[in-house]
Parts: sequence; C-alpha cells; structure tokens
Amino acid sequence: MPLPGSHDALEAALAPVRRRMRVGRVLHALPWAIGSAALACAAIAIVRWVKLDPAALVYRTWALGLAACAALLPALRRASVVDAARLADTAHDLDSRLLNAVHLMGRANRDDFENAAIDDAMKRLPVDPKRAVPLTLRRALGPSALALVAAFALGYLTLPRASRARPIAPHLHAVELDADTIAATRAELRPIRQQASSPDVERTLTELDTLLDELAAGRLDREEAFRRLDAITRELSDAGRNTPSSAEQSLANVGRSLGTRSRELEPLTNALREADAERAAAAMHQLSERMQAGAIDRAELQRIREAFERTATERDARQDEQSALSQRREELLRDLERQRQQNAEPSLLERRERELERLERQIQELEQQRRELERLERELEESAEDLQHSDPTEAAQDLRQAFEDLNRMARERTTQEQREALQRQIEQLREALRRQREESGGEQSGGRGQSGGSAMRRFVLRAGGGEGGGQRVTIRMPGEGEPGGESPGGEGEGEGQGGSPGAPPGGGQPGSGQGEGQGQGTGQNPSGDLVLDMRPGGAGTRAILEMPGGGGEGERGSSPGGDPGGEGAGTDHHPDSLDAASDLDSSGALSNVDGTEGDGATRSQVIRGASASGFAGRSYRNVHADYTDHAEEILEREDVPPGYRYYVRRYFQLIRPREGSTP
Amino acid sequence: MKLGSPEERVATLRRHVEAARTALAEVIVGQRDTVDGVLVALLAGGHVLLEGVPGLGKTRLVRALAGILSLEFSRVQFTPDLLPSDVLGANVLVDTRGGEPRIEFRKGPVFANIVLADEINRATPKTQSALLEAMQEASVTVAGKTERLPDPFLVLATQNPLEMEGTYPLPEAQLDRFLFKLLVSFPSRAELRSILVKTTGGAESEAKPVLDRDTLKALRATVREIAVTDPLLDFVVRLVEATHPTLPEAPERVRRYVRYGASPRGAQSLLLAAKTFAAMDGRFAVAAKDIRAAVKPSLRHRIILGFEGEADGIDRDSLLDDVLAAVKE
Repeated sequence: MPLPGSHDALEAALAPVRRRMRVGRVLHALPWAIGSAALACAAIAIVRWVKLDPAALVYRTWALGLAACAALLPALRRASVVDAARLADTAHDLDSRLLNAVHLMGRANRDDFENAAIDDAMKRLPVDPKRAVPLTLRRALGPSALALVAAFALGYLTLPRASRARPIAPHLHAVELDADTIAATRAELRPIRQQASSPDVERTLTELDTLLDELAAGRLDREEAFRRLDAITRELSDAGRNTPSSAEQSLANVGRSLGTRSRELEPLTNALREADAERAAAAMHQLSERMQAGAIDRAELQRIREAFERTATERDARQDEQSALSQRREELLRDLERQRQQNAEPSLLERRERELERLERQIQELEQQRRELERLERELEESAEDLQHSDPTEAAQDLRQAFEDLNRMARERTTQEQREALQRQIEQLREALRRQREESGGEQSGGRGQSGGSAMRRFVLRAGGGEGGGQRVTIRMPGEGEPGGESPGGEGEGEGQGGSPGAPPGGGQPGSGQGEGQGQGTGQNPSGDLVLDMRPGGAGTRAILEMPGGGGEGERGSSPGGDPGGEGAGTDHHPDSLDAASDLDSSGALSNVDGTEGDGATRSQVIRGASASGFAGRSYRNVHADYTDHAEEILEREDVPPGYRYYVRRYFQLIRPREGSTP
Repeated sequence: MKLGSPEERVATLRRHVEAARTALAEVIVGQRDTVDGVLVALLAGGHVLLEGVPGLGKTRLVRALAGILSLEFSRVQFTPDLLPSDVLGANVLVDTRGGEPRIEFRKGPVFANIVLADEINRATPKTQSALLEAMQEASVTVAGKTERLPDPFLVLATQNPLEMEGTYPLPEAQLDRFLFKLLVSFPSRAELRSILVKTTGGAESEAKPVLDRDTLKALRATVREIAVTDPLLDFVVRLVEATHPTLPEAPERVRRYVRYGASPRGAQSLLLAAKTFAAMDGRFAVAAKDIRAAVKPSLRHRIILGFEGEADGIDRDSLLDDVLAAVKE
C-alpha cells in the first residue's frame, strides 16, 4: 500500500491512466494494421489468381497474424508516469501540478515550496483516467475493417480460367525437312554403314542418324541443325586429315618402279599402277603363295628381286616432293613473319596463314603416305634380300607382310571413300536445309499448294519441253480437271496446271511451261520399255503421266494464245487447232482416282504415287537406279551450280521407287 | 514580517494582488493584461517599459500604481533637451549660514521608489543612458560619489512607437534592463465608453493604497521561492536559445531576421516572471504555461532585428510565436 504523498502513491494514482494510454496506442495503430492486412490479403489473392497457387491462401493467416502483432506492439511499450501526469494535468486543468510533482519527487532535498507543490498535486488525486485518456476509435477503423473483409473474401473468389494469364512457352522455329529428304538420306547412308571400316565413320553415321531423327521429330531449329552439321563435318575432316589423299599416285609410283619385266609380277604391277590397293593385295597374296609353293623358277625370282630392289632405290627420289613442300612452308613462314612486321593488310596475312595451314596439312598427309610406303617398300626390299639368299620361303613371308600393308592401305582408302561419301551426304543435307528455308519462304508468300505444285511443275516442264522433234510430257496433278484442249504439239509446249487438293480454291494457278531446247520426255525404247530420256534432244513418244489424287475442281488448260477453254474435259478440238482431238478412249495410262476428303496429299505423296505405279515394261527400280547414277556422274564431272545440283538430286529423291511399288 | 508557510505566503500574495487589481480597476478602465504585467513586474522586482501611442492611459496607470503603494513616486518627462543631471541630480553650490559656500548633491527625480519616465524615447540617448546604473544597481554615481536609491526601486517608462516624430530608439543595454515591455493597446468600445464616463464627470477617483513597503518586499521574497522543475528550467534555456539565429534551436524566421537574441538577463526575467505568474495563480511551482505567458513581455524588447528584419517590418511577437511553436516542453 503506497504511503500518501509518496512517489508510489502518485504512480498508483496514475496507473489507470497509463493502462489506458497503452490501450489507446493499440486503437491508434489498429487502422494501420488492419489496412496493411487488407493490402496483404489482396496481394495474396492476386498472387493466387495469377499463379494459380491454392497454397497462397495460407499466407493470409500469416498476414493477419502479423497485422495483429503490429497492432499490439505499441501496447508492449510502457507508458511513462510523466506522460500520464501530463495527460492528467491537461485533462483536469491542473496547470502541470501533477507533472511538477512527478519531477519534484525525484529530488533528494526538497524545500518548503517544492513539498507544497507536491502536496498541492496530491490533493488533486485521484484523477479520472477516462477523462485523461479518452479511448476513441479512429474514423479510419471502419473503412480499414471493410477493406480487410473485402480482401479476405477476394481470396475465395475464383476467376474464370479464360482470364488467367497463360504462361508463354518458348517457341521453337523447328526446321521442317520433309520425310522424303530424310528417308532418301537414310537410304544413302545405309550402304555406307554396311561397309563402315573405321570408328570415325561409324561415329559420324551415328551422329547423322541422331540428327535425322531430331529433324524428323521437329526438335531442331535451323541454327542448331546447321551447327550440328558443321560439327559433324569438322569431326569428319579432322579424322580424315592424316589420311593420304593422293595414295593412288603413290601406289602408281610403286607400280611403275616394279616395271613389267617379271611375268609373275604383272598382276601386282597392273593393280598398283591402277592404284587398286585391294587388287594389289590379292596379287601380292597370290605371289607369296606361289613363292611358298615353289612354283616360280629361279630366273623369274631373280627378276622379281631386281624389281623389288628398284622400288627401294627410287624411294629416296620420291622424298623430294616432300622436301619441296617443306621448303615452301619455310618460305611462307618467313614471308608471314616479315609481313606481320611490316603491318601488312589483315586480309593478306589471313590468306598467307590459310596457305600455310594447307601446306602443313599436305606435309602431314605426305608423311603418312611416306611411312606407309616405306613399310611396303621395306618389305619388298627384305623380300629381295631373301631372294638373293635363295630363300623363297622367307621372301614369301615378307611378301605376306607387304600384303598386310597393302590391305591396310586398301582399307584406309575405303575409309577415305566412305568419308567422302559422308561429306557428300552432309553437303546434300545442308543444301536441302537451305532449300527448305527458301521453299518455306515461298509458301508463306504464295501458299503451300501453289508454290509446291508450281515449283515441281516448273522443273518437270523445263525438263519435259522440247523443240522441233521433241516430245511432250503432260503431267496432270491431282486436284485438276481434265485438260480442256490441247495446244499445238508441234511447238513442243506443254501445258498443265495443278494444285494440290489442299490448296485453297483458286489457289492453283494455270501452269504453263515453255519447252526449251533440251528435250526431255518419255519415250519407247526398242525393247518396249518406257524410258525417261534425259539426253538433250532425245526423241521419244508422247506419254501422259497421270498423278493419282483428288479429282477436285481444277482449272482447265488454256492455249498458248490465251483462249479460254471449255469447262470440264474436252471432247473435240478447237477449230483453229492443228492437232487432233483428244482421244479419251485411248488405251493409255489414263486412270481416274477418286479424291479423298480433307487435306489433300502433299507434293511428295503425289510423286510417290507416280513412283509406286511404275513405268510400263521395265522395273522402275532399275530405271531409277540407272538414271540416278547417271545423273550423279554428270553432277560430279561437270561444273554444275549447286542450286541446280540440288534440284536434280531432289528430283530423283522424289521419284525414287517406294517400298511395295510395282517391280 | 513573518513569512509563514508556503501556502500562507502564496495566499497572502494572491490576496494582495487581488486587492491591487481592484484598486487599480477603480482608476484604470480595462487594460487587464497591462495591469497584470505591471503587477508582475512589481512583484518580480523588475522595471517596465510601456509602449503605446499617446492618450492610452500609460501615465495614468503608473500614477495609479504609485497610488496603491504607500511609496514615494516621481515623474520625469523626457524631452530632447533633458540632461542626465536633470534625472539623476547634480552637485550644486549652496550658501551656508556661516557664509562659506559648500557643494551639495541635489537628488534628481530618480530618487524615488517608483519613477515614471514618461516618453523616455524623446530624450537623447545620453540622457536615456543616465538611467542605466540606477535601473541595474539601484544606485547613482555623480562626481565619483555613489548614492543608493530607495528600496524598492521601480522604473516605469513609457514610450511612443519609434515611427513617431522626434523619438530616439532606446539603446540595447537600456532595453535589456527592463523586465517587461508591455504594449498598451487601444481600449475596446466598452472600455472607451467607461473611460469617458469616469474621466469626464465630477471628481476623478484616486487609487487607494493597498501595499506597503514591507509587504511588497515579503511578496517579492515569496515569488522568488516558487519552485521550478528541471525540465522547465531546460525549457526556459531552450526558449532563449531559440531566439539566437546562430543556434540550432532557432526557427527559420529567427535565423533570417534576427541579429541578436535574448541575453541571459532575458532568461532571468523570463523565469522570474513565470514564477510570479505561478504565485499569482496560487501555485507553488512554475508550470509551462507560466513560462509561455511570460515569453513575449520578457523577450520582445530583447530581440534585435537584423537589417532584413527591420526593412521588412517584422513583428517581434510573431518571431516569438515561432519560437514557442518550435520549442517543446
């Protein structure tokens, strides 16, 4: 019990005021805390809508808890007696009596007036806490509470899914290489795989297979596809860098060194001169067998020995070529250093560096060749020594060693050929990717059916036209009607029009092709087989090549003069036409196939139809193989622009025989 | 005189103050603040400067105050040709009965308990300064001889606003010696009416004495014993500091317009006046409101405006309002 007039009594009297002060602080902070909680709940509701996170509602509990803590936090702070006294003084008009009393009570030695001041203050006690600290709810409390309720309710509101923001998936512009190209490339790779003779070739084949799989699945964009192709090419080049590229020349040199004096050596010499390592190995093996068996007389053995010695003698002379290259390399190095010091143009320096790299590559190749040939010639020299010591058996052993060397060289040559074949396939694939881009660009501007059909038609008509005695090829694409009339055939102009069934109405444009001097067409050879003669000016008969497919609406053909034809199939000829009327009852290869609903066949499917049906009389498979080989041979031999190479190869890809086609 | 307990002393003070108010009210109509200010200065032992245009009853108030006190009163009308000796007194040669003349100091009007320096700013600064020693030391020194002034000694000066013709501003040292500077305002309509009734009738009423010398001294002792707490002492210090433009407590307008702030003597005056207010209110300790009430009369004449403040005609009371707003208890 505090003594009257003591500090404790004053504190006790002011304690209710202090308690109400703490409550007042809570009430003061409450609107802010509730407002903050409302904002937090609204934010959580938005997060839930946007991210579709049902767990977000859990955070509301945390938000409300934090808001409650924030509101209660001021209550934890003690209310001072001084503040309580000041509030009580103000509320009761005590003119700081209580405040002065609180301060004066702290003094140790008080005078009469100080004690009188304290007594005067104590006489004013008790004070009314409600009057000193009136607890009133702030006006903002109501709106804050309403906002909190609204924000809380928002959390239970479910928005329609359509309004939800969908995450945007990264879009891959996959390169769309058609299935024919992929299938054709696989078909080209198949024989290489069957004869693969080195790990690097097998690795390249595996990588190419993977690349083709991913292209077929549309998992690669153009940039990635080209990057992968470059990487494969680079690995293949690195693997084949040390392989002799002029091994034929080296073997031929050995063959020439052996000469033709020995009859027994003749098969070997011929094979070496023709740089056929495989055949040379077989000849070497046969020679060693004959030596082992003692089937070669002494005079012949003497000639063989002399021939073998000549190869060893001329070996040193062949090193001059490598010495010359090394000398040239040294000169280039000096030039390069000098030009660098003279600050020559970067382009010149770059050119010199490339030349230097090329020379070093050649020197490495020659070094490899030299080692291989030295081994072979050493074996031949040892064999010659054995023959000099009249030891044909030992000589046969040496020849077997030489046979192994030749075999190895033959295998390396095979590997090199496989690498070159792979390089060609990679280059064709790269070209196909480039063309795919151009064609897809054309599709974007002109429509798929139109561009696809017109491109193929342009190609075929360009090939099928002819002047003078050239024959005419008429290709009727699916989705087009019968030709309304025929143009004068004497000019060798073919007309046709087409569009894939999937093309929009009116999308197919009237196709027209002007025959060129190099005629191409179908004709009947003496054996009765239908052949596709691609020689310039080749003569042949007319053939109608009809494509199966939808028989939808098509535009009728038009004469070169632009006269409109009749609707549908014509049954008579134009009065001005010099040609005979079409004979629809002819026993040609005319056939009608009902179209199917929905999207029409693509261009490759059209060509498949042609290739599957086959040409009359002879296995289309054989015809295609012959012409493909012939075309490849021409492409390799002649200086054909890459763009035209692509079209030729593409053409043969598209018309290749399919599985299950007519033999 | 027996002082008694604090309660008795404060009660006595209040009783006498009330009696003085009543007595003054017989003569002075209205002017409650001015009357209270004069009474506070009387109890605090300080001099008062009353400023107002002529005819507001300044002289009458002082005369009435002298009337309620059983004390000697003198009045000096300050004019431009007034000499210091006219105020303080002078040595004069007087004939003696023996025929040998001698020099004798003849006291001036300053030798009184209550001195009315009427229109003090009409005298030259030299004459004005003659009151410096008298006001501070309660003594006068003439020809090397110091004469004590009667106790209590109170100077009540009146002055016309400085803008008026023929006035000389009081020196800062002179101003600092006044406890209060009270502004006498124009009376309200009712007050003016009452003034007319009282002063234009028959015989004018005279103030009756209610305080003698000893009582006044006892009341002054009571005032000085009024308690003041440390926070309020600190409050007074901070208030005075806030009038100095170079100190961080000063408000922005004080920094801009004030050249010098209140002196320590100003702080003394402030606290003393606050104690008097508390005692007059029947309290034993000073409250913050007492200090606030004493700020303007105690400090307004102690603030020296700078050039910009003078040029802009800044009211010193408005600067003190800024100080009161800036300094918290």
